[in-house]
Amino acid sequence: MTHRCDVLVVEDELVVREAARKILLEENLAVAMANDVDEAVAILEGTSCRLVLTDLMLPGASGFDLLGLTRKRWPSTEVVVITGYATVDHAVMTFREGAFDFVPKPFDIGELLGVVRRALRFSADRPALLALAPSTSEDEVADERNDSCYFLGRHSWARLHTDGSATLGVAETFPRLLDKIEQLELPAPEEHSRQGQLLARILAQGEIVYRVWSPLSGTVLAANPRISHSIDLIDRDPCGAGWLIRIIPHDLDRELELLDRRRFGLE
Amino acid sequence: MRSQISHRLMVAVAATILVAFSLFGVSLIVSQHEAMTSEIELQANQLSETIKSSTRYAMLRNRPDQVHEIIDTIGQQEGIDQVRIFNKEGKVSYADEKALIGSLVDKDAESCYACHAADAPLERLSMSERTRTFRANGGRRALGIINPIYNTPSCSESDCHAHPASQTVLGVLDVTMSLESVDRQMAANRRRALILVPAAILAASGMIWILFRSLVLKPMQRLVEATDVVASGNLDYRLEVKRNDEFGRLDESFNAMTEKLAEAQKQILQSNKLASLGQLTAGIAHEINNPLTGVLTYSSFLLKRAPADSEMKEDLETVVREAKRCREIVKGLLDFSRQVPTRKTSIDCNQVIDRALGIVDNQLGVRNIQVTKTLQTDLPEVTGDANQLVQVLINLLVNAADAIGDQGGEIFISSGVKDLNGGRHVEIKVADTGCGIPRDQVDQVFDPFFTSKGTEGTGLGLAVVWGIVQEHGGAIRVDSKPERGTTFTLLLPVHFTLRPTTTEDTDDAPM
Ligand SMILES: Nc1ncnc2c1ncn2[C@@H]1O[C@H](COP(=O)(O)OP(=O)(O)OP(=O)(O)O)[C@@H](O)[C@H]1O
Ligand SMILES: [Mg+2]
Repeated sequence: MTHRCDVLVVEDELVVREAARKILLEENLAVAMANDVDEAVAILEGTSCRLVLTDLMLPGASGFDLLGLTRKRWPSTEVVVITGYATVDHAVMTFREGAFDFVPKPFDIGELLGVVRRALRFSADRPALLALAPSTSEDEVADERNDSCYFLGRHSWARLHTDGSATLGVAETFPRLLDKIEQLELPAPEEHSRQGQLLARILAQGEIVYRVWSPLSGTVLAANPRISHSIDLIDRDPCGAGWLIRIIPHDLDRELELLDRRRFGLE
Repeated sequence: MRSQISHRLMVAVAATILVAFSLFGVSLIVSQHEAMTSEIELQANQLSETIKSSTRYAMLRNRPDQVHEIIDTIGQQEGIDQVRIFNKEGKVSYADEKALIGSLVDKDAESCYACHAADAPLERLSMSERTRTFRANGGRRALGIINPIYNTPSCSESDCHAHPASQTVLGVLDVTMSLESVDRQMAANRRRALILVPAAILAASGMIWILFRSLVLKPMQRLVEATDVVASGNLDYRLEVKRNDEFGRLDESFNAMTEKLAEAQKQILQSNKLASLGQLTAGIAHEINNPLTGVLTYSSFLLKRAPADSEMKEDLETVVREAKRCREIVKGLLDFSRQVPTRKTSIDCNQVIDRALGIVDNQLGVRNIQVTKTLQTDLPEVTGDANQLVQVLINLLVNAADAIGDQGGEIFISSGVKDLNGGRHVEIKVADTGCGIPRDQVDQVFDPFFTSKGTEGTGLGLAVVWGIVQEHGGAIRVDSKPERGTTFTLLLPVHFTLRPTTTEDTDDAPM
């Protein structure tokens, strides 16, 4: 462990790699760079990195291969996947394979910093945060609130209601990793949400953008009316009163298969 | 194909007519022959009775010359071959042909056979036993009838004492009539039949051929040609439906089929186009996204360092903004190319209503609005996206609640079945006692962004409703009385198919 390494950027496209490096250096992070999976593995074997930021499309082995390898050999290293363009498959797959999050290209400074900050904070406080958000379990469902809850990784959740609508929100650990929230951007009623695509943007000081990916597709019925008055509800009760929007799901049966069913970790 | 069917039909028809006419002709000729023969038979019998009674008196008075005279006169009549009277021993006593008188009749001859067949003379004979047909000299057919002359007391007691009382049969009167006229007529009939039957066959076959041509071949030919046209790729081709028979119906279904084919082809083309467009945009997006990342990052950095209120800062702001716009454009393209068709299932509209009511229940309760539900049970299912239909009803219910306002009112929601010319539909009505829609606005309520609620409404509710209803092949109508209330009527086709009418047509068809 000769060098310190905060983030390893694995990207074959020079301009993207350099842009990422520049952004991360501004954050005073130690950045290593790799062109493909082999180079990345060589670096990881020599240095312990807190975060791997990898493109999906690489020459030779893919970013998914590197993701699997990293989770297995260096479990305390978080992985954020850079996707060429966000699709349902990519989004769901990255979470399934154990990525912390993904960031679609093209990203801007605030968007990359948002996800990198969250990932580094998570890796710094891993055991406590993992306890907060248990991994997938099929335990007996404790109460009504935990009934029919589905998760997209440790990122967002959807809860089904008997009337056929669903509420969506951010997972337990999500608010713990944020800077002070300044603003929340939610879709308007009658807009559509899509699984694996943008559900909400949380803006923090310094033009940092935290993006929340939607666990389900549907038509937006309404945003949480209380949340516009008190944004800190997200922080205080992300899985309850801090829900974001209510939707009419579109393709529920198929999409639920792609999510993890578990109970909330909080309270 | 065309010639084969008509030829086979023709041969079959000709054979049928031949057999039928032959059977008919033969039986007609046979029965005619029988009728004519028995007519002659009757005549001969009458004649022989006449001869017997007219000669009786002369015989009793033993006046042979008178008997001869009578027989001569009768024998000269047209159609009578021979009149003879012979005694028990077979000796001819009287005859119109004088040469025969005194000659002996052979008992085995045809005229005697009836009585003497069993060698024992029979004394009473029926008419058919007394008649015989035979070929006389020269091959002419003749009918002979014998008439036994029985002994009566007046005979045996007569002064001449010619016959003792012990004798039963005194002699036999034999009349022979020519069958020549009958045979001539029969021959003529046969000749006529031989001409008529082929003529009938010809006429019937010709008739059937003409009918077959105009009723079957021509419309079939039209269909074959239409099929060829469609097969060669012209899916806009339509047959003019002229007839009201099976061919008319065939034309109709041909048109329906072509229409459906055209629709399917359009869809395939469209989805192919979308698919290749999707691949193209995905490729382009991937390529654009990389340089765009650079542009966004570097311009943002430059922007951070640019002195406040400088022209450079303004310029860089433009670069960043436009780069972000590029990103949105690419994203929009990707979203478009990735559009997946919504999945449709069978839906019970009553459940849709209940779900929608469940969602807006609180809102209605708070506003003191009474909801009356009249749902028809056993509603047929419609095909569609249940969640979207729930959305439709939510929008209608929310609008109704908005129209009622906070002073309270009523909403009536009902479901039922309606048969329209287009087929069966499920009909859902949402009626309210709200403010109603001003007459001049009724036409605009479905327009996107039309709202009377100021900033409270986006005006998209009914636009979304319209879109979803269209996608389900349905229709929506609004009836409103200002100040009294509004009714929205929703019609959704039951198991949406292209031409639901055809099934009804065939239902009440005879077969
Ligand atoms: N039940 C009703 N009674 C009276 N007016 C109605 C009714 N439903 C719709 N309208 C009229 O039609 C307009 C358009 O309705 P629509 O649902 O499209 O938009 P909105 O309700 O105004 O806004 P949004 O639904 O987007 O919040 C309404 O603003 C209202 O004027
Ligand atoms: Mg509305």
